[in-house]
Amino acid sequence: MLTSIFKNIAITKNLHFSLIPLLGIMAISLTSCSLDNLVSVDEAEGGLDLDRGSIKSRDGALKLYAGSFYALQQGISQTSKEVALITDEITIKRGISSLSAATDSRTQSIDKYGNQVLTSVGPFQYLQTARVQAAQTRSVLSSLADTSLSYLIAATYAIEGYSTLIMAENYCSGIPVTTFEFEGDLVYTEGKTTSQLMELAVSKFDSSLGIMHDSTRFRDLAKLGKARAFLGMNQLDSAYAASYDIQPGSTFILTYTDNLRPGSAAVQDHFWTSPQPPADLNTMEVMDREGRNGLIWYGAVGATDPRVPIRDNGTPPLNSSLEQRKYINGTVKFPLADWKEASLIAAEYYLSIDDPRWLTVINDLRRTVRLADTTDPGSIQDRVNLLFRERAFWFYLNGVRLGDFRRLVRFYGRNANTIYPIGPYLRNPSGPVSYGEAFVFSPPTTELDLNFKYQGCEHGNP
Amino acid sequence: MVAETNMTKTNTDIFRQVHLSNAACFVAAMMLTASTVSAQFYPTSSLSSDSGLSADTVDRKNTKSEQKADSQKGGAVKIKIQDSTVRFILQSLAKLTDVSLVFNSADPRLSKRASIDVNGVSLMEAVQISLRGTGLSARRSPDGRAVLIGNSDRPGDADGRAGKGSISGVVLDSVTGEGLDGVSVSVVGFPVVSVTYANGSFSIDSVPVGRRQLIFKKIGYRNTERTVNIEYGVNRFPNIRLWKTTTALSEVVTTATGQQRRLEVANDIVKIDADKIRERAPVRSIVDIIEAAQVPGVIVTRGSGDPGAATKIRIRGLGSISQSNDPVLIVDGIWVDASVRSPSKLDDIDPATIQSIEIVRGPSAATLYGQDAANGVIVVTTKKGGTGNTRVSVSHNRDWGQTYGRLPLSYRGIGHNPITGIQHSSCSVANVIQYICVQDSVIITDPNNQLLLREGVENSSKTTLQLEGGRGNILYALTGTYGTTIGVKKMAPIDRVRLRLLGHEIRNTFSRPTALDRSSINSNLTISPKDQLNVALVLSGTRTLLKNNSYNLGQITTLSPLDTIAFLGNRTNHFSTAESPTENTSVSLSSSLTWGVSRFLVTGNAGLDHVNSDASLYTSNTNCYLGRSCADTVGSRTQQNTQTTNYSFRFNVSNQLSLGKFDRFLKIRPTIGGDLRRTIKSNLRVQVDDIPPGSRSIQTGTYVASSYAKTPNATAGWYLNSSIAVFNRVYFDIGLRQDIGSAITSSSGAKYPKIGGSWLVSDEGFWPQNRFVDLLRVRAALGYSAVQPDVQDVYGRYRSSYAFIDGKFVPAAVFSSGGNPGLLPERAGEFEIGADADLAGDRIRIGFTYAHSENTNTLVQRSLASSAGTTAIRKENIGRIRNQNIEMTSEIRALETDNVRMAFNYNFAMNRNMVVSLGDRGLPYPVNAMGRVAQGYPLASIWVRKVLAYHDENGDGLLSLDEVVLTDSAHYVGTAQPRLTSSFGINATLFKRISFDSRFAYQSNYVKQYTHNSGYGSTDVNAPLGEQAIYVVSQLTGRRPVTDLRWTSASIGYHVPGYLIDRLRMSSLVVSLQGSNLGLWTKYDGRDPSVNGSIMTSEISTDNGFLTPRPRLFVLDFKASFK
Repeated sequence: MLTSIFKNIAITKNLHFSLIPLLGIMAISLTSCSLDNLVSVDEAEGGLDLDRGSIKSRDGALKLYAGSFYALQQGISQTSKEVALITDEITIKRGISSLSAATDSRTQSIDKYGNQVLTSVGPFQYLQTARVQAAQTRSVLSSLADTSLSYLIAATYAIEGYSTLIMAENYCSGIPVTTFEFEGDLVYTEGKTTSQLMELAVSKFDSSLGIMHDSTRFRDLAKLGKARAFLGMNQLDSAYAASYDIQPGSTFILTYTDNLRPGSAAVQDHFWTSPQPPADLNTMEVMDREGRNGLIWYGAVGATDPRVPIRDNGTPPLNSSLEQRKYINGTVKFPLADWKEASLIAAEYYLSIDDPRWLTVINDLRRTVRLADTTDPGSIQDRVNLLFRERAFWFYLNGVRLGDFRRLVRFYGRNANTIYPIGPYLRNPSGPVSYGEAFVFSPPTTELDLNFKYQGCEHGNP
Repeated sequence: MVAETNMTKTNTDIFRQVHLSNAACFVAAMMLTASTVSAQFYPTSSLSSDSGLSADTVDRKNTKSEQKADSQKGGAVKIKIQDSTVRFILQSLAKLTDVSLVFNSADPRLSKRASIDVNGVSLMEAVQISLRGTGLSARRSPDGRAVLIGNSDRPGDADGRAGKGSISGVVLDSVTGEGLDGVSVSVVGFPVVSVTYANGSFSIDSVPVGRRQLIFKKIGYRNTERTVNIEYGVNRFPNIRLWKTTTALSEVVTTATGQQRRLEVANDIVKIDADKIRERAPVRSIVDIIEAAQVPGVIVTRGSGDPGAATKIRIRGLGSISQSNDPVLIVDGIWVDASVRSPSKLDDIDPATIQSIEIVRGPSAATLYGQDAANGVIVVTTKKGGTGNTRVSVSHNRDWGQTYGRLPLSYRGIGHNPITGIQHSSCSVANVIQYICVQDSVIITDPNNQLLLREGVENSSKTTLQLEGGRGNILYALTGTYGTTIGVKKMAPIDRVRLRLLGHEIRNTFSRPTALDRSSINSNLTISPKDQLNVALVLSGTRTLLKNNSYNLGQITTLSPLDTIAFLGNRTNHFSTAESPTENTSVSLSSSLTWGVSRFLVTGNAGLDHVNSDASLYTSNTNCYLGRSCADTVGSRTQQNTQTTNYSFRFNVSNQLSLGKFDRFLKIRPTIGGDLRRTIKSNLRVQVDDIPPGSRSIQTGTYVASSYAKTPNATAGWYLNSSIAVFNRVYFDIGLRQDIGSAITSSSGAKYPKIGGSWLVSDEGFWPQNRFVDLLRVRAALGYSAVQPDVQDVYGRYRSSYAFIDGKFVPAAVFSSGGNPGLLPERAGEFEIGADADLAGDRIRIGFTYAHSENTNTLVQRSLASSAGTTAIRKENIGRIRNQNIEMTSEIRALETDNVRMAFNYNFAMNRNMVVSLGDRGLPYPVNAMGRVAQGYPLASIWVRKVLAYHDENGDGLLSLDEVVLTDSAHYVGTAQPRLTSSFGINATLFKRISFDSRFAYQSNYVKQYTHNSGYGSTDVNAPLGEQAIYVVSQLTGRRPVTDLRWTSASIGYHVPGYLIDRLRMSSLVVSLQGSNLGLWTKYDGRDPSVNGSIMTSEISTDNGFLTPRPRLFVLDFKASFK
């Protein structure tokens, strides 16, 4: 039936005349030009977002690297503030936000089912951004024909390592490390335990160290990160081995905030800056009396220890208002990786093998700031106390202390109540309450809602 | 070769007399029959022959080749033989047509001398003519393969056959006199239908003798009946003339592949005649035309009744959650931005220049229009010039508008601090509960804290000058329009007094703070350099200035409004102003080409549409005390420039295939086409402070912040389409489109097929020939279209920032939004089925459509978990939306006499919208306070917590939120989109001079989000608890179910008689009084349910009680055309 129809059509001369040009036009349309080129655009231009074309260039790769560095800096500085609050390095004076109060009073926690409502999204988010963007930056760097930036690949691994390490040190056991490739897809992951995160960090630092660096600065950054990760796994020998050769003076610097960046209003960070006119802007002060185990810095050392610069601003009513003077504005540098930490890791390692050099290392460090030598307290426990007290002074407000608290509980057998602040929390506006039992930070509850592979932390213990 | 010609003729004859129960079987049978007949024709050599064949007896001109050519041309037999034997004539016919003529060559009757001279008749007719007077007759063999010649049939023949005759004739157009092709000719009571040839001729064989009634039908022509006495043998019929009629199915509509008769399109495309709308309703914009047309399934929403308010058009419900639901707008072949904004870009199209607007509803109709067309397409065609001398027409109208209802009363408590005694100018019930203040008095204010409510008369005027004409190959039209509208908002008299007391000038910008000026010019040039070639250029430009100002005379802090004297003496108040003009400048250039080459038709469009919008907000921010001029104040200004440019290019090449012998009943028109569109949107925003007194310039201020973003986008697509017509009563449309875009590469490019059919059932032979149903067509279409994701949705975005590295700030890019490279366009598939009928002599027209559409791969915004590195929204193709629509149109021309014509129309539409799925987790997410997108509910659904009880537990006479018991969770209460809409209209013309028209519209089954936060119950501590309860929970429960009936328009027009026109040297003068929005009947306690305060951002319709309702308009319109 149809054959007959087609046969009749085929013998019609006009039909040939009709179809041939049509087919020709079709063929030309489909083959002579690439249709994708017709519709190719840079998806955005202008000051708010960067267009995709420029991102994939050398300049774009540099910006991406700077962006991941920025996110790490934000993540670490914000985490350090949280750490300072929960470990009594600093406390709320006024202008209390519920989130800061919850951290300060150790009531910010989360159970396995995500019932906790107070979680600080910012630092966690920035640490995750740093990790994800570092990997994206590496993807762009690898795609460039220009190899002059290859050294930055090592830096991206280090950034990934540090962001992972900071989460491992301070967050509960069970943190997802989702991947989001550059121009690629999103793959959510389940939570990783603290040990798994530490191992992951070590692998990132190893990757960084496996690449030629332009300077020892990057190598030392990765070495110290790796050493810290081993420390978090109580592998003191490996930690020492990773960092023993870091030379004195080697420091990798961050700043606390970027709020003085070009084009931005110079908003004062009330958390960190010392009082600027008007003086009552500052909302945080150095811990002095609160909590049975609170660090009585001022009472202990007054303003004499150069490692913990404090000024009594003398503004009651709550207390004498002790202002920290270590980080007086957003651009004051603080070390992300510092040779002093390598020294203290060495000291801890020596202490673990009962090598007397542990005290030598501590005193050598103290002499650098013209502090008198300290003496061996005798017992193992007191030696550990001394070592960790030295770490507390050296790394004041550097976001290390919560990790040290946890290590004391996990690896040195200390009771949490002897480490964490406990007792009445005086800053509550409705009257004193007791400190809570939060030992670590938790991911924001939205992670439970949105990451379908995430089931919450394995535990929130130290 | 001769046989080939005749085979066509023979097959066609057979085909033309087939009747079947449905179109599909019909086509199948057609093909089957064709193959059977062509294979089994008797060879010519088997015919009986007559040695008397002589060249001398055959007309020399009728060589075989000529005969064949003639046959091919006319599709019928042409033969001229004089004074020869019947036998010879039959033999000649056999040879000529290559059809077996079976007869006894020895029959002496065949020796009779005869002549034949016919042209364009069928073989049977030619044979019958040859046999006249011989006593012989011809009939087809039972198997239809041959013509048998023998004794005449008579009643009671051995085979029981009654006497039969054949009918032939020609059908002509009554005006042009040209033969009409494709006219259906049927004999009442017999299942035979014939179709006329290109020259209008037809023939029907084997019609039983006697009085028979013939019906002639053709779309676009009035059905015509003739009674004829059929006699044995051949019956020639006098020429039949058909008169054109106005059936809607005959009109030409624009499709993506070109223009087609509406009958041939399987979808219900509505064509709006803009001039007709202008005659009966006030029209200020294209949206007014669309709304006044009352097209079923089309809902027009306005942001408010203020001039220049944003408007929104939704066609057949909502299909997209996160993407635009705006239809595509194509003006003279080019894409025009149709996004919702204020003032609307749509309104920049001068309605005076519009010839027609076509509403292409649903994805199945919009398939070939490509990406973003799933929400429907609005095709606008502007006026072209007409041949002849330049004609000038002037139209001027004045509008007066007034709102109905009054602004809801707004209350403000005056009080003092219980401890310090400091006055509180705003002391609500909630403030009292919180011990912030003690209430002293309550005053009634408007939302701007002014004393009195004020709305005046809207004033509008518009003048249009049109020139059009044409000479030779050039047609031109030029239209210029200027109009201005002053909104209803008005400064309260008491404020005038206060300002005077404060020593301020009262400028118009504040006494009438809302106004719109619009001027536009449109030129249309059409050139036809040669036959079949047509080039058109359309250039238009529009400038729109929307003024939307406000002022604040300061809050009244101490006194009751009744204490007027003291109030007027309150000189501590300041006078601050906010001036927010928006100026749109639109430029549009469209070029189109139509070129016919042989059987090809090439059409193309190229052009651009650009709109530049400058919006600014200037705020004076220093008090103007008595004696101090506001010119002394320091101001701040935010300036925003947005630009949208669309470049579009489209081409079509179509070809009317020549199918040889199938041409008579089968027409195929394949089309190949493609289009390309590039859109660039940019947005620049600058904010400055400290603008010195006397200046408004942004350059004189202190820079605060700025931002700039530019977003290009491009889409391209190509398509193949084939329109097939079978017997001029069954039409198929089959097409396939492939799209790519900036967000969709060719590797993931989507393909959108379509198939549709339209069947003129009433032209089939089996259709009972009754006089009530003049025309019935059924149609069905299935097609797919899309809404594409945004480019930004596909690729990750990086925010510009700085990082402090190595002691210095360096530029940085921070991961801010994760893209989804796997995104696909939202795919909308629609099945539409419907029917159209003309009844009772075209007095009644009805149309019915059911459309079922499913939007799959609907883009749903999902927040990302923090571990992804960004918590920005990321879109995923996980949703599914369903729309079910029922639409009905009807028109009854009840009275049609020379002096009185009266018609009624009623349209109806119902939409059922539902979110079928939101992906694997199906989590609902909020749109605003009460709006929610939830699985199993309409897309624009409203959810509230219900008040279970309230009790003043502490006995303080005040109701706080914790004293009201609400349900734990929100419950679905309805959808913001009307589910049911209908309209009714009456139109009458008296004595051909006076016209009258009135229309009503009804909407029901929808819910508005209504919140009024400064009401009596929320402010006055003495308000009853029930009143307080309303306001305490108003943010949670403020919704209103709506049903409304609106008197949308009425008009009365007068066409000035000819003798007066002549004296005025005019060709026409029409004076009309029109009104719109004349009445509203609803239980809705707001002022106007049709306005939506959230029109720019949401499909959820909101009303805070203070939106300006659409004004009731009266328009006096003069339209004069000059010779």
